[in-house]
Amino acid sequence: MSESDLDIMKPETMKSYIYLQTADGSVQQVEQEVAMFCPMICQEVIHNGAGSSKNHAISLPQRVNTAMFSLILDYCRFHQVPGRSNKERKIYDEKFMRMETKRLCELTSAADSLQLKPLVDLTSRALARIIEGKSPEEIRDIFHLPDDLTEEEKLEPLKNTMDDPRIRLLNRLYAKKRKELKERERLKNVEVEEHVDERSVDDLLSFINGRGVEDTGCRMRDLSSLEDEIFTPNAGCEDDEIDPAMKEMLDREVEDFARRLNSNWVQSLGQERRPVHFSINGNGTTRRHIGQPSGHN
Amino acid sequence: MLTIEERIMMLPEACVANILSFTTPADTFSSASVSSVFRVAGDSDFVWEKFLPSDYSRLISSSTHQSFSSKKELFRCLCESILIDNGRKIFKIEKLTGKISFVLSARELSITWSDQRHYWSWSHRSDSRFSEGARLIMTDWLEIIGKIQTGALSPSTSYGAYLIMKVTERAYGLDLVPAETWIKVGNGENKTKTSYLSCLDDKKQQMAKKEEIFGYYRREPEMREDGWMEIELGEFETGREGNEEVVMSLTEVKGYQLKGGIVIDGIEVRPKSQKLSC
Repeated sequence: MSESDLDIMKPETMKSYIYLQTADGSVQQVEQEVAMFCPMICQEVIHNGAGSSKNHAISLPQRVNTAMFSLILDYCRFHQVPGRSNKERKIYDEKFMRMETKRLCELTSAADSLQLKPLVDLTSRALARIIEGKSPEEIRDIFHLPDDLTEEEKLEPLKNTMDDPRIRLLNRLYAKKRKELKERERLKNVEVEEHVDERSVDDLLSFINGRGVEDTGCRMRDLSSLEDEIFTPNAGCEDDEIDPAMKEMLDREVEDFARRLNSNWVQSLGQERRPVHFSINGNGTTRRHIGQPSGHN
Repeated sequence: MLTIEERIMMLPEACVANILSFTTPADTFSSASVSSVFRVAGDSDFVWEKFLPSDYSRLISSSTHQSFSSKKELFRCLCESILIDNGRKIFKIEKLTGKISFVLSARELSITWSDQRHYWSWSHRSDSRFSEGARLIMTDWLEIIGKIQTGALSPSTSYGAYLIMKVTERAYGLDLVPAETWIKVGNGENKTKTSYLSCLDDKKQQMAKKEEIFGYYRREPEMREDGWMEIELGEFETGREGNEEVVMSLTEVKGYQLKGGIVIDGIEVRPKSQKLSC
């Protein structure tokens, strides 16, 4: 139905229009009830008295370009009619949402700046369906996002927002390993009883993930006391004297480990955890038993 | 330099957070590796509040006095099983889906005649997840009933209820007649199935195989990951909203023989697609 038809039907009423200016400068004239469906526009009209004429047009936010504005107006025009049933609205919404991802993003952004929450939620749900189950690379591709996280940051989720005792433990284990390797190099010719930690990344992974403690809410605490058990108090561990190639290899191991820890962290519920039991030798180093706790041997 | 296209695609962080809140916890965890905007959005309390059950503060306070610096951390805590209601129930959120599951302890169930010490014995068990389990000494009337409200569970989810039990070495009378299991939601119908209470030993398994050929299927307890067995009592769906009572039951009252030697740890109510549990 065109505007002139409406005028013919109701010749007495003065149709009110709101004047809106999009980012490119053009001013549009929109029926009042349609425009007022957007909270942001509603506020401008009521609180600031704007939009009543071409000269006093309301400037729309930057994020609302002409194309998006026209879509939003279509949406408002449909939904502001009070008589529609929920089913009608739902059908309209589903059809309305069929557009390519780029437009969905633009529309979300535009609707958000106009504070039009129903439309924001509608587009957001559609985008959520697109994101679900995709890998970070795929998501970056879809949304043309810059890969602006450093390698460290990508591994950082492991640190949580607080100190993850598992990462702390990992770092200390590696520092210990580096120190031991250093010692070994130095004392190559001397026959000393070695307590070098020979554990591979895999072993460390299962150690870190292994739960040798009772299933109550106290895991974190137990792990940190375990950590204290393992490391006799030492002055700080310096490892700058290590061969740089060795250091690089160790750093790569840490990274690889952390990546695996991360994927375990996210997916680990299905894995069977063997309890890993520790005991301390007389000289303060640790021994590790796999499988049954020592009481069952 | 960003193209116009790229610039337009960049949604503000609040929008990204809103989008993530419509996905799953799994997607939100992995969003930390997408880009800096996604990372910050994925850490926000806004998103994790949506994944938490509505009564999370009550649940947390009834089990620990730990304080949390973010809703994400709180969520992680609830993914470990926590004891609530004076140790009578276990609550857990499945980490990747955010779905809720419960284990009701034996004390929380109605076990007919369980207050009679000649029939049932209550004791602490080292293999139990609760402070006590119930062991059947002897009865001819086995009736176990558990109840839960759908409002305490995740909406729009298929759930299964499972009786967590064990058969002791000196069990008897469990083989002869199968037990009946059923679930009823609100005013709905009972859906009754049958299951034997014990598994056949090898010799009897050979004989049973012959019966299978004739189309008779014998339901038995199944092994769990935690060393216990489970019998599925049935399944049900939670609606999008509403709060109905779900009654879950196992009875063996048709056989007149005396039975004994089963241990009950509780009833687990967990989402159906999930195979593993606490």
